[in-house]
Amino acid sequence: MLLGLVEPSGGTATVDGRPFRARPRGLRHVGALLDAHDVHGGRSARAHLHALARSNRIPAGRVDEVLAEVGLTASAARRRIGTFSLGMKQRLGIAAALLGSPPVLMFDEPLNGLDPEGVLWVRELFRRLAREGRTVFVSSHLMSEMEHTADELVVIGRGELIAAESLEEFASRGTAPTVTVRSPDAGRLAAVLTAEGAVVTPHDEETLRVRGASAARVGELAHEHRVLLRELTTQSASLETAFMELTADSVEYAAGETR
Amino acid sequence: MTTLAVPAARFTDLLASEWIKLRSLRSTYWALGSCALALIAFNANAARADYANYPHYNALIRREFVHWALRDAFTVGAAMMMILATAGIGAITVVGEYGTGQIRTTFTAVPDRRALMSAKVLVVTAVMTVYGAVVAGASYAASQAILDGRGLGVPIGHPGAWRVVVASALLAPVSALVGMGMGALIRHSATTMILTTLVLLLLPAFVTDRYHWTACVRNALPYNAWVRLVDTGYGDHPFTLTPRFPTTVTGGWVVFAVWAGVAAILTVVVVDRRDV
Repeated sequence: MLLGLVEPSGGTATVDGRPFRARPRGLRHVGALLDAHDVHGGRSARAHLHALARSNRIPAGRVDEVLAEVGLTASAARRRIGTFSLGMKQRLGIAAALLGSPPVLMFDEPLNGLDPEGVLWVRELFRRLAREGRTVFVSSHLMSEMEHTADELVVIGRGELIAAESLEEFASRGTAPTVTVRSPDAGRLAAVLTAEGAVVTPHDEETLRVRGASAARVGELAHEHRVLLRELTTQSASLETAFMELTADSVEYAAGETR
Repeated sequence: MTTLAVPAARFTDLLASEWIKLRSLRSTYWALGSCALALIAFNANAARADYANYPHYNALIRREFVHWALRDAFTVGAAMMMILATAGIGAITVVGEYGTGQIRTTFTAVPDRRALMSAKVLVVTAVMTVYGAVVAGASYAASQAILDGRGLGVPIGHPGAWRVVVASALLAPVSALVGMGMGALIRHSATTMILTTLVLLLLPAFVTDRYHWTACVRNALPYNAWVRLVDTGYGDHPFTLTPRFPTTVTGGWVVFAVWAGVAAILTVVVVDRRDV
């Protein structure tokens, strides 16, 4: 919809204040990778990029630059795209998005099919593009991945906007951090913590889950009351849990439920 | 942030881009090349057969032989094959983008779909016109050269000879545009091929010229327009039955132009209006 490929049933979508379809050429305004398979398999990677560049009056030299940037070698660039792995197609799609050096970039699930090294590379690339002052719009279902990449989050569930805020704000909406503490004297420690106002849930004979008190406070109290500790760790609420809690109402296809 | 300066959008860039897209597909060369050879061979073979059979032809045929010689320049079989091949290639230039998803990448790079599709239409038309000219020209040269072995070749300056070459050559862009239009409407490769074949090749065989309205339909089909245009002896030699509802050469050209024009407009407008 943002790119004018699909007409919205209501409302408007603009990029940089203008509907995308009102622009005669797109690559210098928005670079997009929607689906790495959206390429004709019969062309070589170079010919594909060359045709895209030409249509937007981008000098042919940019093709070599973006190929080098995404790590596609000269011999790979001469091969037909149909022979590419998904990871290579992702790289080609990113190369196409970078062709026009646009101020806005959109990537839909760009990590699919990439090897671990590729994932690291993409993450670093996105951070760099953002540092350069570009808006990098990434859609993903991998919350843990977003935790590494994003500054701002837009959460959509069932077509409704659930949240649009910074990563920290979003994460803090979720459950408060939990402290896990293990001690041979768990019973006494639990009593002390409860007296301090913390919520304590025993996990097993030795382990307690504590909410409402920081790890530092738990340590101090244990020291004061001379309780031996064997473990003291903080589990900060992950983006994933925050997401799950917020979208619980709007999951379209919940597993294990009859619909 | 280093961004590139935004130059004015030029239509010629789109033409160049579509040309790169067409020539960077190996299938384009294979399809066009093999068909060209087959078509020229078909026509040359018809001339060879007439060359071989000439001694057995009676006086009537010999007197009218110039029409036979011009028929060998581009045979009915070759015309059908030309329609099939060029309509298929034209359709693929559109359906190939939809089928692979390339269309989304294309429209993200060029949101101005009308300009893009117009460029595609122009590039395909130009390539197919050159292709048709090469095939029809080579067929004419080859067939008449063979018949010249008996001194029967018709010089290109003979009345109607140019018409045979030009009408046969234009069959390529007209069919390709119809293929593109069908592709833009249907967007599904197999269905597009079947319906294009139905309209361009099967319909002319089904529709009779017995009644006025069916004759109108029949005469409005590109294949029948071509038949009329290359029939140099229309109405005045003993081998053509004069139809009840006669057609004209001008009518033939008009049919070509209307089909090509409507198909081109359809390709541009339909793609512009729909979601991808």
